[in-house]
Amino acid sequence: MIIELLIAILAGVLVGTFTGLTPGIHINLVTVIVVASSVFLLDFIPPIAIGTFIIAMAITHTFLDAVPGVYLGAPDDAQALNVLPGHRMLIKGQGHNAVKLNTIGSFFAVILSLVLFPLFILSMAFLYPFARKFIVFVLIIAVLYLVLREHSVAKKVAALVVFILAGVFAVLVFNLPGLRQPLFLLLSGLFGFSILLVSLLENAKIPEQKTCEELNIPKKNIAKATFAATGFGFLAAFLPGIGSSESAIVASTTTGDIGDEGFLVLVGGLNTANMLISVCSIYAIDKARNGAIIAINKVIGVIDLKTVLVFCASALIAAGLAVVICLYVSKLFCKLVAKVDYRILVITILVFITALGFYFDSVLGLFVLAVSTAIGIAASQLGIGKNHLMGCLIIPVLFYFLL
Amino acid sequence: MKEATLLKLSLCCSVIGICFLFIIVNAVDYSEKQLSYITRLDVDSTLKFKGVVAKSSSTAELTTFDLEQPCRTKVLLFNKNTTIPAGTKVEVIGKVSENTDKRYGGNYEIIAQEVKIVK
Repeated sequence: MIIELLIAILAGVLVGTFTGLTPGIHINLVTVIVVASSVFLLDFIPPIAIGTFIIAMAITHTFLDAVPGVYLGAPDDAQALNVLPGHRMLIKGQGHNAVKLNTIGSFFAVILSLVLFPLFILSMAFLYPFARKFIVFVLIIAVLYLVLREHSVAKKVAALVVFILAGVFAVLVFNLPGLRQPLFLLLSGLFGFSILLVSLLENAKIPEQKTCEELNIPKKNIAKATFAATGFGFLAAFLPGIGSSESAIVASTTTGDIGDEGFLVLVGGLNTANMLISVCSIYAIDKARNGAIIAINKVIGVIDLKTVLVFCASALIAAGLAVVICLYVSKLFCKLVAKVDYRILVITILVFITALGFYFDSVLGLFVLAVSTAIGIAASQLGIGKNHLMGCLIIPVLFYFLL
Repeated sequence: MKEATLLKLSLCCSVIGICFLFIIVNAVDYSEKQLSYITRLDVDSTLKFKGVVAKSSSTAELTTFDLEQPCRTKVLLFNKNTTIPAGTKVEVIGKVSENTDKRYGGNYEIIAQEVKIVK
């Protein structure tokens, strides 16, 4: 059994590396294939090995998805907020440090989450009925705080308008019939595409990337960001409709000024903590909060304490390996970015995202991409924070709770 | 934090994880119970049972069989299309559940996670 589990973990790490590095490919795509094949697979592989594979893949994905977010400006939903601080560091020649910070956040979040696992299990069942009632107010207060934090009245108004615009557009997009990948189109346009287009028009040049530069972040900020990431990852893991990005918005209001570096640690840690702690939610309150856990529930059925412990051990092994792979791949990307003309790289990525958008959803997909890019560019030109574009996820969540 | 430190720490964690996995898989075992001693307190608990398959049937996504000790209890194995021949000695690890369909007799059934053939 141990050999089967170790092979499953290694396979999960490899597949998670692929899904993390490839924009547009999410682990949910792989889990759907695994569940569909489970009737055949279960003749050869014990169900717990399949579950372990999914956990290892999911954890690894949360480490590696920082790389396309930083170097290519092509984030998934979990990394959307990291694109701008990551891009800023890339322009300063510190792309590798941006990935390293994200990796540090993810890694320490795994360790802290595992240490606090028993507490999470005990508190989840107790908190769940109350948390559902107050989360909408927490979200509204956090959003208002972020809007009011802008420096002038004009920027406050602009932030609110952009927030509502992104949210309303997202509600319309999610309700469009026939769209296969609404989230990919929305987030690519709002965050990745708009940032890349602006940097192309501004003739941004990516300097040589330094891989040996020391991190410029006090240990105190790493600790703050990691604790906030784990705490809010816990909330994201069991509250319905609240994902990593929404939690990151709320978390950023509690950590104080931790800079771009601290924010990268926070978002990286939050994504990973959310994924790991969601194992708690299926065990403690019998609620599956993401595609990976739904798939595990379908394949294994009953998740007992022994299964949870196996998953925890698998997550620790996968996290250790993911750190090594992530840092190595980031160095490869540094060399690639240095050798390739940045303009050509950006154009290639833009063409790739456009082609993906067309492949998934044809002309309608391109239209959604174009409009979301326009909203993203508007936020940049108005000089307000890109975090207000998270209205695209928060407003649908508010509708879910309020209506 | 230096990159070398981070790499050493991560590899240590992987090794600790492997040791932890080894301990869980080998040391953590389920309590074995006789079918006749199952009570309401055992509902929702994961236990181990050994017995002989009395009769078995399967569909695309469900295998059911009666586990006999000689006391009989129904066992359900989801997502599996396997026919276990009657008379096979098996070890079942599964969760005890209340049997809501009294046509099959008995108060409890077992939702199996794992069924091993014992020689």
